[in-house]
This record gives sequence, C-alpha cells and structure tokens, in this order.
Amino acid sequence: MRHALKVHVALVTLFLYAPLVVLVVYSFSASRFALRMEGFTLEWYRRALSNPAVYKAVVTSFSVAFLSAALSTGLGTALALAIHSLRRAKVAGKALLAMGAFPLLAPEIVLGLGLLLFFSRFLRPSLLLWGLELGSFPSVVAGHVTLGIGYVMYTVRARLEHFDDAQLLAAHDLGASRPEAFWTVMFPQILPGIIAGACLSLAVSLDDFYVSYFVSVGGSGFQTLPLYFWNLQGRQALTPEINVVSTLLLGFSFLFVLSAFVLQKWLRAPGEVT
Amino acid sequence: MKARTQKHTAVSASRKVSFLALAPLAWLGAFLVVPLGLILITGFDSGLHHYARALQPPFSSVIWSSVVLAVASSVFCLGVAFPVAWFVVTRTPRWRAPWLAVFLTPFLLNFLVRIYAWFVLLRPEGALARGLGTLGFQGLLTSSQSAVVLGLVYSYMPFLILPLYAVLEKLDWRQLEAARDLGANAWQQAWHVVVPHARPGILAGLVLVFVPMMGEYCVPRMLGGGMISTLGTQIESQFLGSVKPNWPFGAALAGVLMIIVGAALTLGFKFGKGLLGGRDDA
Repeated sequence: MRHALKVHVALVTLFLYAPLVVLVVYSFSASRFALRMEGFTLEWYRRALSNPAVYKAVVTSFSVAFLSAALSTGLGTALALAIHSLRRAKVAGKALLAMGAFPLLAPEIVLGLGLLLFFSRFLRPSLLLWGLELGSFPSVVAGHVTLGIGYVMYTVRARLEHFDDAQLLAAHDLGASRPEAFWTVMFPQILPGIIAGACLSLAVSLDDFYVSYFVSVGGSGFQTLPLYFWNLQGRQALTPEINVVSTLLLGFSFLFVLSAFVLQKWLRAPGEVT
Repeated sequence: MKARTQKHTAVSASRKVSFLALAPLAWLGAFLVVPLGLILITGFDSGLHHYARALQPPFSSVIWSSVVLAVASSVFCLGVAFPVAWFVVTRTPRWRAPWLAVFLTPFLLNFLVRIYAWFVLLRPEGALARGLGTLGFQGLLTSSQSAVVLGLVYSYMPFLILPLYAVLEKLDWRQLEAARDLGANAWQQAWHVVVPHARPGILAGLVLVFVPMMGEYCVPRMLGGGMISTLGTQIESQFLGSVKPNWPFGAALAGVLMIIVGAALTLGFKFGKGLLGGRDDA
C-alpha cells in the first residue's frame, strides 16, 4: 500500500509536469509547424519577441489587471467591512456575502454571458443616447472587478475574524476619532488580507479568459494575453510561435510564484502567525 | 461587560455600514445581479419556447452528456487527488508546504496554455492519443471524450486537493491507532476512519470541480477534436457562433446550466459543512 501510494504520487507528478516540459522543448523546434519537433533554433523566440502584437497584448493585460485589481481591492474591502459590521443583521450580511461569492462559485461563462447581454443590450445603447461609446477596455475591466471583489472579500474577512472590536472602543477611550481609530488600529491588522486580496485579484484578471472573451466581442483589436493566445491556437496552421508564447507565460507564472513567496516571507512579522 | 462593549461598537459601526456597503452593493447590483437577471429574462423571450426546445432532442442529449462528462471527470479527479492529499498530510509538517507547492504550482500557469500543452501531447497522430483511445477507459469513453476528461481533470485538480488537504490535516491520528489496535487492516482503516472524517471535504471538493467543469468551453473545444458538444460549447456558439446565433435560446441553455450548477452548490452547502462557504461557520 505504501509503495502504491508512492507510485501514484510519482505518476501524478509526471502527469502534472510532462506537458509543460514538452511545451518548453517544442518552443525550440526548428520546424515550421507547432506540433513537430525538428532540430533546435531560437528563431521563433526572436520572432515572438519582435512581434508588436505580443507586446500590445501584454500591455493591455497588465493595464486591465492593475486597474481592475485596484478597484476590486477597494470595493472588496468595503464589502468585507460592511459584512463584518452587519454580523447581527444576519440576512443582510448573508445576502452581501452571497453576492460577493457568486462569481467565485458559478462557472465563469455565466458571468461572461450576463455581462455580454448587459453591455450590448442595455448599457451600450443607453450610453450612446448620451453620445458616449463603451469600448472593450472599460467593459473588460468592469467584468474583472466583479470577479475580483469576491477574492478580496474572502481574504479581508479572514483577517477580520481575528480582529477584536473592543480595540476600536479602547482607541476611542484614548481619544482617537473614528477615522483615526480605523486607520491606526483596524487597518494595519487587516492590511495583509487586503494585500493578499489585491494579489489574488491581479492574478485572476491576468488569467481570465471567459469574461474577456464574451465581453470584448466586437471590440476592434482588443486583446489581452489569454485572448491573443486563444486566437493563436484557433488558427489553422499552428507555428511554433505559440509554443514560445506558452513558454514565456510559463516563465511569468513561475516568477509570480517566486515573488509571492518572497512577499509572504517579507510581510510575515516575526512571531506573527498568518 | 464584553457583551456590552460589543453592542456599543456594533451600534457605532452600523451608522457607517450603509455608506460602506453602498459602493460594492451598487457595483454588484449593476455588474452581477442585473446581468444574471438579463440571462433569465432573455431566456423567457417568447414564453417557455426556448426552454422547451433546450430540453428536447438533440439538446437534451447535449445536456445529459455534459453532466455525464462532468461527473465522470469529478470522480476521476477525486481518485487522482485523494491519494495525493493523503500523501501530503502524511509527510512531516515541515515538508507539507513544499509538497503541496509541487502539486499546485502548475496551476498558476494560464489555463489555456495548460490545455494547449495537452493538445500538443494528445495531437491526433501522437502515440499517446492512440494509446488513450485503445485504453479508452475500458471502452466507456471515446478517445475524444477521454481527452476531454483528461483535460478537465488536469485543469481543476487543485480545487479538490485543497479541501481534501484541509480536512485530512485535522484527522485525529489516535483514531487510526485505535482502529489498528482493534485489528483493522489498511483498507478497513481507510474506509471506517479516514473516509467518514474526510466526507465534508470530499463533497465540497467534488462540487467545486463539478461546477466549473459543467460550464467549461475551452477544454471540449481544444481537446475534443470537434467531436464533443457540451452545454458550454453550445452556449458559446448560440451567442458568438458564426452560423445562426440565437441569443434567447443561448440564454435558455445558460438558464439550464445555472439550474444544474445551483442544485450542485445547494447539495455542496448542505453536506460540505462550511467548507464551501469559507469561514462562515467558524
């Protein structure tokens, strides 16, 4: 039984990493076709890295991600604080919680669809009456914010659970005004939750495909990195460029893990258990 | 004393609440509640017509095969993930986090790229695809179905590993010792001690993977070789397809998806004991 477990774990590890290794190996293929391995070349790297469309997609992805992460961090924190102070009003708190959690639990395709209907049937026509045009960029940001709010809500709520409200009262007794009490007593204690939530919503936005895909329809040339990737793989003739873009994304992800790890070590104050 | 101070802060805080909740409430109202409502309204565009069509052949069989595919993938996923979670909790505490990282790191890669990686491995002329086809999960699934199951398992495994790890970590090891002392063999220990303890994690995890698998569009599209039609691919083509898009009908299909997913989540909340709702019950 013990050996069976080890064999299983070894196979799962192979299952998890083998496709990624293949991807990296294929990105050096000299073949003109993505699915064939012949020789070795850096030519496809040169092509991918000198392709302005790739850069444009990277810039779009990061602009969307930072903007939507900033908005969802603010809104998600406010939501968590509101739920925290609504603990006694069970129904209202539960309703807010359910709204925040919905995008996390439901299939993303549902949110993407709903937003597509909302934007194209309702928001765009009514904005047009005012002479305003709603482009793909703000639409996708709006979708990503809705996705991110729930994540921030969860991480901030996790911190609020360990927060003793009597501390606020003590601060008032010592002469702090309400904003002062919040910023000097409560805020520093929930800050790790806010930062974790911001990182998560950033990652969710960078990773998102469904919402961007449905919402950006008809948007002229608007492409986040996942959308760019989707269009690449949808082509009839796949060139190894797609393997190169995949490998670069793989590199990005590992860099992200590494920085999250370093950030976590740095944020964890000595003696504190987070 | 404590009750009084809590009451006091609650009262002083509640004045700020209305203001605090306003922004997120307005946002979620506009960009979540209204869109979901629009899906329902659009689906009932001409009475029950679109829903009736969705529940008749050929679409009823699409719905049915999506459910079968998602259930099969969830169960298969459990079979893969449970021993992995068990392996991690049986390491010494300082090695648990690194091992967990080994199993979770690949999931930080964009999921389209992960599926594409399998597409490269499973390309039709590849030996792996033929092997899968002949193995065919004992002839239960076609090779394109097996490829989709594989992709779904590969895409959503962490949603099962994490809740399983969370429950197994709290296992009282003395119960296992007691079972051993009373003469239980390894399988009896697993079945009578570990599984009952892990049941909430198993159920929550199954629901957490089943739900996104139900709505999946990219995996059947990329790995199904054009042979697999699911709720996800049908909804997409009704909305964005180049051939005769039909939004109200697509919305009705999405309504069916929401009902199935809602049922699964309700079951999960009922039996998953707080694991789905996060720290709600703590």
